[in-house]
Amino acid sequence: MYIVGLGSYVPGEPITNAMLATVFGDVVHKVGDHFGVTSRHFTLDYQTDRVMHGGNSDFCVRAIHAALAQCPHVSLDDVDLIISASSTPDDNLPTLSSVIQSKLGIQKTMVMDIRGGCAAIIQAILTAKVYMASGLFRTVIVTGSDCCSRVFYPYLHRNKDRARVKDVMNTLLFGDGAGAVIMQSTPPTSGGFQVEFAESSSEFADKDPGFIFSLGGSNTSYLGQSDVALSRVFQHFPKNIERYLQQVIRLTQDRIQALGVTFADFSHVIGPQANQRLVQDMNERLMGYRATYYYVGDRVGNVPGGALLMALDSLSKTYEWAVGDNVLLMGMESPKWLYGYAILRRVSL
Amino acid sequence: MTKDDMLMWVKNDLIYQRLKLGDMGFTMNDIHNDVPLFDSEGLDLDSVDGLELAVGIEQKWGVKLGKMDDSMAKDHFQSPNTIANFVLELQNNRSEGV
Repeated sequence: MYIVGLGSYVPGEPITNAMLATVFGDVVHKVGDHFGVTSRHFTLDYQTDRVMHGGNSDFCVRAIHAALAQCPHVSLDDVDLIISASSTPDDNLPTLSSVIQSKLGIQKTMVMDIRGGCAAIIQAILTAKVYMASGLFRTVIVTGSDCCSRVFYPYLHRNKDRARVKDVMNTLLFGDGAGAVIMQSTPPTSGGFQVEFAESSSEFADKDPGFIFSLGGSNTSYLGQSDVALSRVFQHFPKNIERYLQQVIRLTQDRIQALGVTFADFSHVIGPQANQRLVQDMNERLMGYRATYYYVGDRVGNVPGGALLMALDSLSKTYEWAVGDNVLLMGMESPKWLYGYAILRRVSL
Repeated sequence: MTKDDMLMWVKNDLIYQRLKLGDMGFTMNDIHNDVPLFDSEGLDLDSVDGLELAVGIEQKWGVKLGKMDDSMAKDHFQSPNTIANFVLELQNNRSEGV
């Protein structure tokens, strides 16, 4: 299975810590420096809360058009399946993937949503791969995206004088954006990657969460509640992250090594973002190997669903691929410690 | 400001109120001068709480603490007592133009 087109989209210009500090004070610098985030993109104007660049489905459509531009032989009529991976769909229903279908103007296709964090895009790629391997579908669009600012920013902005470190960390470290790939069962004539292997698993479901993000659900309805605090929507548990994240990384590394592959076999490792300590840890793990750790979280903040494809697209714009280069995409998420990875191999220039 | 006044500010304003420890079932009696802040035997605070304390000190006293890393936490944020000493030291340094 092959990635024949790759694209990404971020709304507007980068919003720096210095810009946000004019609204929220120096706490932005303190938190941004601590977690290694210098800027992010919001669809909202950070000074007025006005929506400037649409929502999640719009980001996905723009990323898809960028990906389609790389594979002119693919027509929207060819698309058999659209899979979207996100934690912030436009609405619970209709599904994000069906809204994307509508905005693309595709009359008939199968659509599927995967709700998740950083590992969801790996699950989406794996699902596409399985469908294509079955022979059922030949052309699949996969998107990974999130629109975080419309969830939290208006509330935070209204309550800026009461903003605490936890509020800033849970919000301003997150950003908006999308990545998209066009996948086909036949190899591309130029560019593109073969999806050599993909796996996703959940083996720590009994552990306490590192992060909970809830806009309400059937267990916790927010209907009729006039003021739901940010601290209820976003809950972070740093001690659990310190306790379990390393275990998940080690588990992923063991799974990859069990395939007979090491970091020496990759030109780049693309992994989770918005955590300086994790980046340092990954760089230490990669020390002595050929692979370089690449991420864009410092520039775009944490965009859970979109992170890996946005980073891959960013890398592809600056790095001169050689045929045979291998890239490792690693996704892991703290709510229930899911992980996933995909091994991509450059197939042509 | 005396050491006692600073300790009262650290325990009540900075730790108890700013971190909203009352919501977590703590009372002011739990926050004695030498209670370990980040230890499970004490208040069991996390790294984000540590950042919150640093921001609170900076905002109240107009000082810059630098990067809030493990070394800073170990050296100056062990207990209300060590924080109070640290803030007083920063104030003294500032008034001496150091």
